[in-house]
Amino acid sequence: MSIPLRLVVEFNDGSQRAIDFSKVNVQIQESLAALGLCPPPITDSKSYLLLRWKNGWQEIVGLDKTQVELLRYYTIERTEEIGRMSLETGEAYPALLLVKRLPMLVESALLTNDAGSAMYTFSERTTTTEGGKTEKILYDKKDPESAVEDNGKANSWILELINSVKAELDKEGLIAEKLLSMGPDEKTTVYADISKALGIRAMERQEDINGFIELMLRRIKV
Amino acid sequence: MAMEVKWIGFDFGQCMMDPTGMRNYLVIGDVCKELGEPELIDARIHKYRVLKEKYGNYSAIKEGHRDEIMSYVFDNKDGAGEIFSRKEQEHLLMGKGLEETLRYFTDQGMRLSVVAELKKTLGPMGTDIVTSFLVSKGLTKYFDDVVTPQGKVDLKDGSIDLRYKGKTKEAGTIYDELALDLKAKGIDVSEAAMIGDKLKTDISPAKKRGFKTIQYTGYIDMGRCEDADEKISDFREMKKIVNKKP
Repeated sequence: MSIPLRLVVEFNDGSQRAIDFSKVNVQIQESLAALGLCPPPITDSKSYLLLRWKNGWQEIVGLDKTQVELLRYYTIERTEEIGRMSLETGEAYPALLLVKRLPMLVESALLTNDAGSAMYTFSERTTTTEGGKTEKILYDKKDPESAVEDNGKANSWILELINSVKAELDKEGLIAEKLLSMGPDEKTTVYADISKALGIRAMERQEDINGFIELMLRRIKV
Repeated sequence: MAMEVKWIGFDFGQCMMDPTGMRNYLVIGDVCKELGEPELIDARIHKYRVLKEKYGNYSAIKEGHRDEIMSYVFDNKDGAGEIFSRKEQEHLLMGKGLEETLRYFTDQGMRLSVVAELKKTLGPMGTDIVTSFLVSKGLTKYFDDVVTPQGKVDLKDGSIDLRYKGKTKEAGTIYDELALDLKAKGIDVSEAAMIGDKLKTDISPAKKRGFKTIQYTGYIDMGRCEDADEKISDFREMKKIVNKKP
């Protein structure tokens, strides 16, 4: 790949803005490299740590410090419980979600979008042990006992959420249409209050909270 | 033969209080989620681990460098301190069979105390890690008091007895004071038992002063110790080895 000279942002009105690529910081260069748009940046670390394994494998780590000395090296061996939730998306591969927070205590899930909702309940079905790994199945589409709940349960969960959002809107003296038409900053503040009232936190991205509340607001509007 | 006593002192950290559930992903993760910053979970857990490397263990950070958890890990984010303390309590567990055993002994009329090596100055009830644990888990009703190097907290009225101030378990001076205190209540030191996991602070110094001793290995097993009269890994085992002296 040749060396990038300028980063150009093209707008839908045909206008462009550009800067010298050398002014783009390393993190952005790394993100662009991950998208295949440029080669990874060459960073000049002040020190390097070269690790060699017993079988000859070697890895290098750059450290942006000049005065470096090894403090300690130790390993931790512990049984970690991680939930893996795979979702059929109609594409070639399923989506895979990692549930890191107390995965065995997840009781149910509501899958919802503008087209509808489905609810799933989890309970330990089977346990298989392979070597040092133990797999506990809490839901499996192929298992007839793991069937998706009837629509009624999903609908009553949605109704409960909608009622809570409505109650919070009443408190703030707002209606769904007005909130949806507010500016991004204003909306985010109100969404934070609503999510607090609902007791819902984002697992990975705070923007998911905002999107979920907008979905509920659209339901209220309808 | 079962030991017969009128008073039992319970160690707190890694004995009554089991920190197994207090995993970084739960505590730091929950704080970030409540702050609306789930994207920062991994970076903050990394910073918390860096702090551990600086101070050696998580207890040392919490006892002496709590301000750095807020400044270094949470970038002084408003509200982080209050949520962090709440989440810590939420994810702390009780030692195996603890409440059942406390209920059993209080029903028998046994006098119970917590004997903890608390380093932080005592404030009102529920503001230090020991009393807040007792309050949040509903355990205050089983104990008369909490004995610490910062003073003895009377759990009935919250008053603090400063005769214990500066006396520690490791030096054994806290047990000297306890022996006098119990004697004033008509309990000889031979009628008192101490249970804990740490040999240097809970077992040997108590044994040297005539207390009966029980080594708890439910969280950490520090190995064999001649000064331990009994060894248990579940508090319920106490019901078989300890009787209330009439």
